[in-house]
Amino acid sequence: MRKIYLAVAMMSAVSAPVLVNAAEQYTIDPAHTYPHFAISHLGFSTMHGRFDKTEGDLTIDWAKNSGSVNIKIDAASVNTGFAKRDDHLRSPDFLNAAEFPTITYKSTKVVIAGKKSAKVEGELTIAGTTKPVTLNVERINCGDHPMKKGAYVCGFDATAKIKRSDFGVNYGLPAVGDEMVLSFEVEAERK
Amino acid sequence: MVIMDNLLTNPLVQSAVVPFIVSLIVALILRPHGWYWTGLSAVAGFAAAVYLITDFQLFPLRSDRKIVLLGCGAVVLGVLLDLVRWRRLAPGLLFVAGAAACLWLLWPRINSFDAWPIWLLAVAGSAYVGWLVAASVGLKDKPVQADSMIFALALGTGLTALLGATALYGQLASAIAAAIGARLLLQLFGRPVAAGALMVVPLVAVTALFGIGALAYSKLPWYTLALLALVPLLVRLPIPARWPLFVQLMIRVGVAALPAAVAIYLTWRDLGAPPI
Repeated sequence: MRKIYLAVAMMSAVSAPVLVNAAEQYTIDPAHTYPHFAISHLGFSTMHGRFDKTEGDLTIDWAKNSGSVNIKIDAASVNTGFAKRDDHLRSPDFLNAAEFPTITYKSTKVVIAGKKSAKVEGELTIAGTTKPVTLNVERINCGDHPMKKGAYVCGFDATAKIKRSDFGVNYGLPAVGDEMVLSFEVEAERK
Repeated sequence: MVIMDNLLTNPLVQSAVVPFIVSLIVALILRPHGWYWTGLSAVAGFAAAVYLITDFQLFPLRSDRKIVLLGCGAVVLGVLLDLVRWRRLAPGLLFVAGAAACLWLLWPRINSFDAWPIWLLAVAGSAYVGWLVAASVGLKDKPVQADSMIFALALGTGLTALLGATALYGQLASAIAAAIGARLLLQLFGRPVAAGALMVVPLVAVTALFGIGALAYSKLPWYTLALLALVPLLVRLPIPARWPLFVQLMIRVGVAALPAAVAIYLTWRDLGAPPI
Protein backbone atom coordinates (compact mmCIF):
# COMPACT_ATOMS: atom_id res chain seq x y z
CA MET A 1 0.00 0.00 0.00
CA ARG A 2 2.85 2.39 0.93
CA LYS A 3 4.44 1.62 -2.45
CA ILE A 4 1.24 2.68 -4.22
CA TYR A 5 1.13 5.98 -2.24
CA LEU A 6 4.78 6.57 -3.08
CA ALA A 7 4.17 5.89 -6.77
CA VAL A 8 1.17 8.29 -6.83
CA ALA A 9 3.19 10.96 -5.03
CA MET A 10 6.08 10.60 -7.51
CA MET A 11 3.72 10.79 -10.49
CA SER A 12 2.14 13.92 -9.05
CA ALA A 13 5.54 15.50 -8.55
CA VAL A 14 6.53 14.77 -12.15
CA SER A 15 3.23 15.85 -13.69
CA ALA A 16 2.86 19.09 -11.67
CA PRO A 17 5.39 21.13 -13.71
CA VAL A 18 3.79 19.86 -16.90
CA LEU A 19 0.43 21.24 -15.76
CA VAL A 20 2.02 24.55 -14.68
CA ASN A 21 3.79 24.87 -18.04
CA ALA A 22 0.74 23.96 -20.10
CA ALA A 23 0.68 27.56 -21.40
CA GLU A 24 3.73 28.12 -23.56
CA GLN A 25 5.45 31.45 -23.13
CA TYR A 26 6.96 33.35 -26.04
CA THR A 27 9.00 36.49 -26.53
CA ILE A 28 8.23 38.57 -29.61
CA ASP A 29 11.10 38.76 -32.07
CA PRO A 30 11.50 42.51 -32.85
CA ALA A 31 13.43 41.72 -36.02
CA HIS A 32 10.46 39.89 -37.52
CA THR A 33 7.52 41.77 -36.04
CA TYR A 34 6.37 44.94 -37.75
CA PRO A 35 2.97 46.48 -37.07
CA HIS A 36 1.64 48.11 -40.23
CA PHE A 37 -1.17 50.53 -40.89
CA ALA A 38 -3.09 51.54 -43.98
CA ILE A 39 -5.14 54.73 -44.25
CA SER A 40 -6.91 56.65 -46.98
CA HIS A 41 -4.99 59.69 -48.17
CA LEU A 42 -7.52 62.37 -49.12
CA GLY A 43 -9.60 59.67 -50.76
CA PHE A 44 -7.09 59.29 -53.60
CA SER A 45 -4.96 56.39 -52.46
CA THR A 46 -4.22 54.11 -49.52
CA MET A 47 -1.08 55.08 -47.68
CA HIS A 48 0.89 52.43 -45.83
CA GLY A 49 3.26 52.84 -42.92
CA ARG A 50 4.85 50.72 -40.26
CA PHE A 51 6.49 50.85 -36.87
CA ASP A 52 10.11 49.74 -36.80
CA LYS A 53 10.44 48.94 -33.07
CA THR A 54 8.15 46.49 -31.32
CA GLU A 55 8.53 44.28 -28.28
CA GLY A 56 6.30 42.09 -26.18
CA ASP A 57 5.35 38.58 -25.21
CA LEU A 58 2.65 35.99 -25.70
CA THR A 59 1.38 32.88 -24.10
CA ILE A 60 -0.38 30.07 -25.92
CA ASP A 61 -2.34 27.42 -24.09
CA TRP A 62 -3.14 24.83 -26.72
CA ALA A 63 -5.00 22.65 -24.22
CA LYS A 64 -7.45 25.44 -23.36
CA ASN A 65 -7.37 27.10 -26.81
CA SER A 66 -6.47 30.29 -25.00
CA GLY A 67 -3.54 32.56 -24.33
CA SER A 68 -2.49 36.19 -24.01
CA VAL A 69 -0.85 38.91 -26.08
CA ASN A 70 1.11 41.88 -24.82
CA ILE A 71 2.65 44.19 -27.41
CA LYS A 72 4.56 47.47 -26.94
CA ILE A 73 5.24 49.61 -30.00
CA ASP A 74 7.67 52.53 -30.04
CA ALA A 75 5.47 55.36 -31.40
CA ALA A 76 8.50 57.35 -32.55
CA SER A 77 9.59 54.47 -34.81
CA VAL A 78 6.77 55.21 -37.27
CA ASN A 79 8.06 54.95 -40.82
CA THR A 80 6.24 55.83 -44.02
CA GLY A 81 9.36 56.26 -46.12
CA PHE A 82 9.18 60.09 -46.06
CA ALA A 83 11.03 61.75 -43.17
CA LYS A 84 8.98 64.95 -43.07
CA ARG A 85 5.68 63.07 -42.96
CA ASP A 86 7.11 60.82 -40.23
CA ASP A 87 8.00 63.91 -38.18
CA HIS A 88 4.43 65.10 -38.61
CA LEU A 89 3.07 61.70 -37.56
CA ARG A 90 5.22 61.89 -34.40
CA SER A 91 3.94 65.40 -33.59
CA PRO A 92 0.96 66.29 -31.36
CA ASP A 93 -1.23 66.27 -34.49
CA PHE A 94 -1.11 62.48 -34.61
CA LEU A 95 0.80 60.12 -32.28
CA ASN A 96 2.29 62.76 -29.97
CA ALA A 97 5.26 60.43 -29.55
CA ALA A 98 7.24 62.65 -27.18
CA GLU A 99 4.40 62.70 -24.66
CA PHE A 100 3.09 59.19 -25.30
CA PRO A 101 6.13 57.20 -26.38
CA THR A 102 4.47 53.78 -26.51
CA ILE A 103 1.47 52.30 -28.25
CA THR A 104 0.33 49.21 -26.39
CA TYR A 105 -1.98 46.30 -27.00
CA LYS A 106 -2.96 44.06 -24.10
CA SER A 107 -5.29 41.15 -24.63
CA THR A 108 -8.24 40.49 -22.35
CA LYS A 109 -9.49 37.30 -24.01
CA VAL A 110 -7.95 34.94 -26.55
CA VAL A 111 -9.93 32.22 -28.31
CA ILE A 112 -7.92 29.91 -30.56
CA ALA A 113 -10.11 28.37 -33.23
CA GLY A 114 -8.48 25.23 -34.53
CA LYS A 115 -4.76 25.33 -35.18
CA LYS A 116 -4.49 28.24 -37.56
CA SER A 117 -6.72 31.10 -36.42
CA ALA A 118 -7.78 32.96 -33.33
CA LYS A 119 -9.77 35.93 -32.12
CA VAL A 120 -8.06 38.23 -29.65
CA GLU A 121 -10.00 40.79 -27.66
CA GLY A 122 -7.95 43.42 -25.97
CA GLU A 123 -7.22 47.05 -25.29
CA LEU A 124 -5.26 49.26 -27.62
CA THR A 125 -3.72 52.45 -26.24
CA ILE A 126 -2.72 55.21 -28.65
CA ALA A 127 -1.69 58.69 -27.50
CA GLY A 128 -2.87 57.95 -23.98
CA THR A 129 -6.38 56.85 -24.97
CA THR A 130 -7.40 53.22 -24.46
CA LYS A 131 -10.13 51.52 -26.48
CA PRO A 132 -11.19 47.88 -26.94
CA VAL A 133 -9.96 46.39 -30.20
CA THR A 134 -10.42 42.86 -31.54
CA LEU A 135 -7.64 41.28 -33.56
CA ASN A 136 -8.42 38.61 -36.14
CA VAL A 137 -5.49 36.23 -36.11
CA GLU A 138 -4.76 33.96 -39.06
CA ARG A 139 -2.00 31.74 -40.39
CA ILE A 140 -0.73 30.58 -37.00
CA ASN A 141 2.39 28.56 -37.74
CA CYS A 142 4.58 26.98 -35.11
CA GLY A 143 7.65 24.80 -35.34
CA ASP A 144 11.38 24.40 -34.87
CA HIS A 145 13.40 27.26 -36.35
CA PRO A 146 15.28 25.80 -39.35
CA MET A 147 18.34 28.01 -38.88
CA LYS A 148 18.50 28.42 -35.12
CA LYS A 149 19.14 25.20 -33.28
CA GLY A 150 16.86 24.55 -30.31
CA ALA A 151 14.58 27.49 -31.02
CA TYR A 152 10.84 26.90 -31.26
CA VAL A 153 8.98 29.69 -33.02
CA CYS A 154 5.34 30.66 -33.54
CA GLY A 155 4.21 33.24 -36.04
CA PHE A 156 0.90 34.68 -37.14
CA ASP A 157 -0.75 37.52 -39.01
CA ALA A 158 -3.30 39.67 -37.19
CA THR A 159 -5.52 42.47 -38.44
CA ALA A 160 -7.95 44.94 -36.92
CA LYS A 161 -9.92 47.95 -38.04
CA ILE A 162 -9.92 51.05 -35.87
CA LYS A 163 -11.09 54.64 -36.10
CA ARG A 164 -8.29 57.03 -35.18
CA SER A 165 -10.84 59.58 -33.97
CA ASP A 166 -11.74 57.11 -31.18
CA PHE A 167 -8.22 57.70 -29.88
CA GLY A 168 -8.45 61.49 -30.10
CA VAL A 169 -6.31 61.62 -33.25
CA ASN A 170 -8.50 64.00 -35.22
CA TYR A 171 -6.07 65.95 -37.38
CA GLY A 172 -7.08 66.25 -41.02
CA LEU A 173 -10.51 64.68 -40.58
CA PRO A 174 -12.46 63.99 -42.70
CA ALA A 175 -10.05 64.55 -45.64
CA VAL A 176 -7.44 62.15 -44.28
CA GLY A 177 -9.22 58.88 -43.51
CA ASP A 178 -10.60 58.07 -40.10
CA GLU A 179 -10.71 54.29 -40.49
CA MET A 180 -7.38 52.53 -40.37
CA VAL A 181 -6.43 48.92 -40.95
CA LEU A 182 -3.83 47.68 -38.48
CA SER A 183 -1.82 44.59 -39.35
CA PHE A 184 0.60 42.77 -37.13
CA GLU A 185 2.94 40.19 -38.62
CA VAL A 186 4.36 38.59 -35.52
CA GLU A 187 7.10 36.07 -34.83
CA ALA A 188 7.81 34.95 -31.30
CA GLU A 189 10.30 32.50 -29.81
CA ARG A 190 9.36 30.14 -27.02
CA LYS A 191 11.16 30.89 -23.75
CA MET B 1 -26.48 70.99 -41.61
CA VAL B 2 -23.81 69.20 -43.62
CA ILE B 3 -22.62 72.52 -45.04
CA MET B 4 -22.40 73.91 -41.49
CA ASP B 5 -20.47 70.85 -40.30
CA ASN B 6 -18.08 71.17 -43.22
CA LEU B 7 -17.61 74.85 -42.44
CA LEU B 8 -16.94 74.29 -38.76
CA THR B 9 -14.41 71.53 -39.45
CA ASN B 10 -12.54 73.70 -41.95
CA PRO B 11 -9.20 74.68 -40.31
CA LEU B 12 -9.34 78.19 -41.76
CA VAL B 13 -12.81 78.77 -40.33
CA GLN B 14 -11.82 77.28 -36.97
CA SER B 15 -8.62 79.24 -36.51
CA ALA B 16 -9.31 82.49 -38.37
CA VAL B 17 -12.94 83.28 -39.21
CA VAL B 18 -14.66 82.16 -35.98
CA PRO B 19 -12.20 83.72 -33.48
CA PHE B 20 -12.19 86.95 -35.51
CA ILE B 21 -15.99 87.22 -35.60
CA VAL B 22 -16.51 86.21 -31.96
CA SER B 23 -13.85 88.64 -30.79
CA LEU B 24 -15.34 91.44 -32.89
CA ILE B 25 -18.88 90.87 -31.62
CA VAL B 26 -17.81 90.60 -27.96
CA ALA B 27 -15.64 93.70 -28.29
CA LEU B 28 -18.53 95.68 -29.79
CA ILE B 29 -20.81 94.56 -26.98
CA LEU B 30 -18.34 95.22 -24.15
CA ARG B 31 -16.64 98.36 -25.51
CA PRO B 32 -19.29 100.83 -24.32
CA HIS B 33 -18.86 99.50 -20.77
CA GLY B 34 -15.21 100.54 -20.76
CA TRP B 35 -12.92 99.05 -18.17
CA TYR B 36 -10.94 95.91 -18.77
CA TRP B 37 -13.79 93.54 -19.52
CA THR B 38 -13.37 94.46 -23.19
CA GLY B 39 -10.20 92.39 -23.02
CA LEU B 40 -12.45 89.37 -22.78
CA SER B 41 -13.26 89.84 -26.48
CA ALA B 42 -10.02 88.24 -27.64
CA VAL B 43 -10.20 85.63 -24.88
CA ALA B 44 -13.71 84.70 -26.07
CA GLY B 45 -12.52 84.50 -29.69
CA PHE B 46 -9.73 82.17 -28.68
CA ALA B 47 -12.07 80.08 -26.50
CA ALA B 48 -14.44 79.64 -29.46
CA ALA B 49 -11.55 78.37 -31.58
CA VAL B 50 -10.42 76.00 -28.80
CA TYR B 51 -13.93 74.60 -28.63
CA LEU B 52 -14.07 73.96 -32.37
CA ILE B 53 -10.56 72.54 -32.62
CA THR B 54 -10.28 70.48 -29.42
CA ASP B 55 -13.89 70.16 -28.24
CA PHE B 56 -12.66 71.27 -24.78
CA GLN B 57 -11.68 67.69 -23.93
CA LEU B 58 -9.30 67.49 -21.00
CA PHE B 59 -8.21 63.87 -20.82
CA PRO B 60 -5.75 62.38 -21.48
CA LEU B 61 -4.01 65.49 -20.23
CA ARG B 62 -1.59 66.17 -23.09
CA SER B 63 0.37 69.35 -23.75
CA ASP B 64 -2.22 71.32 -25.75
CA ARG B 65 -4.85 70.63 -23.09
CA LYS B 66 -2.41 71.63 -20.34
CA ILE B 67 -1.89 74.93 -22.17
CA VAL B 68 -5.63 75.58 -22.35
CA LEU B 69 -5.95 74.77 -18.63
CA LEU B 70 -3.07 77.10 -17.84
CA GLY B 71 -4.76 79.74 -19.98
CA CYS B 72 -7.91 79.45 -17.84
CA GLY B 73 -5.78 79.88 -14.71
CA ALA B 74 -4.05 82.87 -16.31
CA VAL B 75 -7.42 84.57 -16.91
CA VAL B 76 -8.12 84.38 -13.16
CA LEU B 77 -4.62 85.69 -12.44
CA GLY B 78 -5.18 88.49 -14.96
CA VAL B 79 -8.47 89.51 -13.30
CA LEU B 80 -6.70 89.61 -9.92
CA LEU B 81 -3.95 91.79 -11.37
CA ASP B 82 -6.57 94.16 -12.77
CA LEU B 83 -8.43 94.36 -9.47
CA VAL B 84 -5.44 94.56 -7.15
CA ARG B 85 -2.65 96.99 -7.89
CA TRP B 86 0.49 94.92 -7.44
CA ARG B 87 2.70 97.12 -9.59
CA ARG B 88 5.99 96.07 -8.01
CA LEU B 89 5.22 92.44 -7.43
CA ALA B 90 3.41 91.67 -10.67
CA PRO B 91 6.34 91.18 -13.12
CA GLY B 92 8.28 88.98 -10.69
CA LEU B 93 5.20 86.97 -9.78
CA LEU B 94 4.31 86.49 -13.43
CA PHE B 95 7.86 85.47 -14.32
CA VAL B 96 7.81 82.73 -11.67
CA ALA B 97 4.29 81.61 -12.66
CA GLY B 98 5.25 81.52 -16.36
CA ALA B 99 8.40 79.53 -15.65
CA ALA B 100 6.46 77.06 -13.48
CA ALA B 101 3.83 76.64 -16.20
CA CYS B 102 6.57 75.91 -18.72
CA LEU B 103 8.13 73.25 -16.48
CA TRP B 104 4.74 71.55 -16.06
CA LEU B 105 4.28 71.58 -19.82
CA LEU B 106 7.71 70.06 -20.38
CA TRP B 107 7.47 67.58 -17.51
CA PRO B 108 6.89 64.45 -19.66
CA ARG B 109 10.12 65.15 -21.51
CA ILE B 110 12.08 66.17 -18.43
CA ASN B 111 10.79 63.08 -16.63
CA SER B 112 11.91 60.76 -19.42
CA PHE B 113 15.51 61.91 -18.89
CA ASP B 114 16.24 62.70 -22.51
CA ALA B 115 19.66 63.92 -23.48
CA TRP B 116 21.02 67.17 -21.97
CA PRO B 117 19.28 69.54 -24.45
CA ILE B 118 15.97 68.91 -22.68
CA TRP B 119 17.45 70.46 -19.53
CA LEU B 120 18.63 73.39 -21.60
CA LEU B 121 15.15 73.61 -23.05
CA ALA B 122 13.63 73.54 -19.55
CA VAL B 123 15.81 76.47 -18.43
CA ALA B 124 15.60 78.49 -21.66
CA GLY B 125 11.91 77.67 -22.11
CA SER B 126 11.04 78.79 -18.59
CA ALA B 127 12.98 82.00 -19.17
CA TYR B 128 11.14 82.54 -22.49
CA VAL B 129 7.66 82.10 -21.02
CA GLY B 130 8.55 84.05 -17.86
CA TRP B 131 10.07 86.89 -19.90
CA LEU B 132 7.13 87.25 -22.29
CA VAL B 133 4.50 87.19 -19.55
CA ALA B 134 6.40 89.51 -17.19
CA ALA B 135 7.25 91.94 -20.02
CA SER B 136 3.70 92.05 -21.33
CA VAL B 137 1.85 92.97 -18.14
CA GLY B 138 3.27 96.51 -18.32
CA LEU B 139 1.26 97.03 -21.52
CA LYS B 140 -2.11 96.13 -20.03
CA ASP B 141 -3.16 99.80 -20.02
CA LYS B 142 -1.85 100.42 -23.55
CA PRO B 143 -4.21 98.53 -25.86
CA VAL B 144 -2.51 99.48 -29.15
CA GLN B 145 0.84 98.20 -27.94
CA ALA B 146 -0.66 95.17 -26.19
CA ASP B 147 -2.68 94.15 -29.25
CA SER B 148 0.28 94.72 -31.60
CA MET B 149 2.51 92.59 -29.40
CA ILE B 150 0.07 89.68 -29.00
CA PHE B 151 -0.82 89.79 -32.71
CA ALA B 152 2.85 89.56 -33.73
CA LEU B 153 3.64 86.85 -31.16
CA ALA B 154 0.60 84.74 -32.04
CA LEU B 155 1.02 85.11 -35.80
CA GLY B 156 4.73 84.25 -35.56
CA THR B 157 4.09 81.27 -33.28
CA GLY B 158 1.11 80.03 -35.29
CA LEU B 159 2.66 80.14 -38.73
CA THR B 160 6.04 78.78 -37.63
CA ALA B 161 4.28 75.98 -35.74
CA LEU B 162 2.35 75.12 -38.90
CA LEU B 163 5.64 74.92 -40.79
CA GLY B 164 7.27 73.09 -37.89
CA ALA B 165 4.86 70.17 -38.39
CA THR B 166 2.26 70.64 -35.69
CA ALA B 167 -0.87 72.06 -37.23
CA LEU B 168 -2.74 71.75 -33.94
CA TYR B 169 -0.52 74.29 -32.18
CA GLY B 170 -0.37 76.34 -35.36
CA GLN B 171 -4.15 76.56 -35.56
CA LEU B 172 -4.58 77.40 -31.88
CA ALA B 173 -1.91 80.12 -31.89
CA SER B 174 -3.23 81.56 -35.17
CA ALA B 175 -6.68 81.79 -33.57
CA ILE B 176 -5.22 84.22 -31.01
CA ALA B 177 -3.83 86.36 -33.84
CA ALA B 178 -7.25 86.35 -35.54
CA ALA B 179 -9.05 87.30 -32.31
CA ILE B 180 -6.62 90.17 -31.72
CA GLY B 181 -6.99 91.13 -35.40
CA ALA B 182 -10.64 92.01 -34.74
CA ARG B 183 -9.59 94.35 -31.94
CA LEU B 184 -6.92 95.92 -34.13
CA LEU B 185 -9.54 96.52 -36.80
CA LEU B 186 -11.72 98.40 -34.33
CA GLN B 187 -8.76 100.49 -33.22
CA LEU B 188 -7.85 101.18 -36.81
CA PHE B 189 -11.24 102.84 -37.20
CA GLY B 190 -10.60 104.98 -34.14
CA ARG B 191 -12.51 102.90 -31.62
CA PRO B 192 -10.17 102.21 -28.69
CA VAL B 193 -10.78 98.93 -26.87
CA ALA B 194 -9.30 98.34 -23.44
CA ALA B 195 -6.95 95.39 -22.96
CA GLY B 196 -6.22 94.74 -19.28
CA ALA B 197 -4.22 92.01 -17.60
CA LEU B 198 -7.18 89.64 -18.01
CA MET B 199 -6.45 89.62 -21.75
CA VAL B 200 -2.71 90.25 -21.88
CA VAL B 201 -1.62 87.67 -19.29
CA PRO B 202 -3.54 84.61 -20.56
CA LEU B 203 -3.05 85.24 -24.28
CA VAL B 204 0.68 85.96 -23.98
CA ALA B 205 1.15 82.99 -21.63
CA VAL B 206 -0.75 80.65 -23.95
CA THR B 207 1.11 81.89 -27.04
CA ALA B 208 4.47 81.50 -25.31
CA LEU B 209 3.55 77.99 -24.14
CA PHE B 210 2.46 76.99 -27.65
CA GLY B 211 5.88 78.07 -28.87
CA ILE B 212 7.66 76.01 -26.23
CA GLY B 213 5.33 73.05 -26.82
CA ALA B 214 5.98 73.14 -30.56
CA LEU B 215 9.71 73.19 -29.83
CA ALA B 216 9.62 70.35 -27.31
CA TYR B 217 7.01 68.08 -28.89
CA SER B 218 7.56 68.84 -32.54
CA LYS B 219 10.27 70.36 -34.69
CA LEU B 220 9.99 74.11 -34.21
CA PRO B 221 13.51 75.58 -34.53
CA TRP B 222 14.81 77.29 -31.37
CA TYR B 223 15.78 80.50 -33.19
CA THR B 224 12.09 81.13 -33.89
CA LEU B 225 11.46 81.70 -30.21
CA ALA B 226 14.68 83.71 -29.81
CA LEU B 227 13.37 86.09 -32.48
CA LEU B 228 9.86 86.24 -31.01
CA ALA B 229 11.34 87.13 -27.61
CA LEU B 230 12.28 90.50 -29.15
CA VAL B 231 8.65 91.45 -29.78
CA PRO B 232 7.94 92.94 -26.30
CA LEU B 233 11.02 95.16 -26.68
CA LEU B 234 10.24 96.37 -30.21
CA VAL B 235 6.63 97.17 -29.40
CA ARG B 236 7.89 99.67 -26.81
CA LEU B 237 9.75 101.82 -29.35
CA PRO B 238 8.70 105.44 -28.76
CA ILE B 239 6.26 106.85 -31.30
CA PRO B 240 5.08 110.49 -31.05
CA ALA B 241 1.67 110.55 -29.39
CA ARG B 242 0.55 113.40 -31.66
CA TRP B 243 0.56 111.10 -34.68
CA PRO B 244 -2.85 109.78 -35.74
CA LEU B 245 -3.89 106.58 -33.96
CA PHE B 246 -4.07 104.53 -37.14
CA VAL B 247 -0.51 105.59 -38.08
CA GLN B 248 0.73 104.65 -34.63
CA LEU B 249 -1.08 101.36 -34.89
CA MET B 250 0.29 100.52 -38.34
CA ILE B 251 3.85 101.31 -37.20
CA ARG B 252 3.47 99.36 -33.96
CA VAL B 253 2.10 96.28 -35.73
CA GLY B 254 4.73 96.54 -38.48
CA VAL B 255 7.64 96.85 -36.05
CA ALA B 256 6.32 94.12 -33.74
CA ALA B 257 5.71 91.78 -36.65
CA LEU B 258 9.24 92.23 -37.99
CA PRO B 259 10.92 89.48 -35.88
CA ALA B 260 7.86 87.29 -36.46
CA ALA B 261 8.23 87.72 -40.23
CA VAL B 262 11.95 86.85 -40.04
CA ALA B 263 11.13 83.80 -37.89
CA ILE B 264 8.47 82.64 -40.37
CA TYR B 265 10.86 83.10 -43.31
CA LEU B 266 13.73 81.23 -41.60
CA THR B 267 11.45 78.38 -40.54
CA TRP B 268 10.03 78.11 -44.05
CA ARG B 269 13.55 78.19 -45.53
CA ASP B 270 14.79 75.44 -43.20
CA LEU B 271 11.71 73.22 -43.00
CA GLY B 272 9.81 74.01 -46.17
CA ALA B 273 6.07 73.73 -46.57
CA PRO B 274 4.13 71.45 -44.20
CA PRO B 275 3.44 67.92 -45.48
CA ILE B 276 -0.03 67.46 -46.95
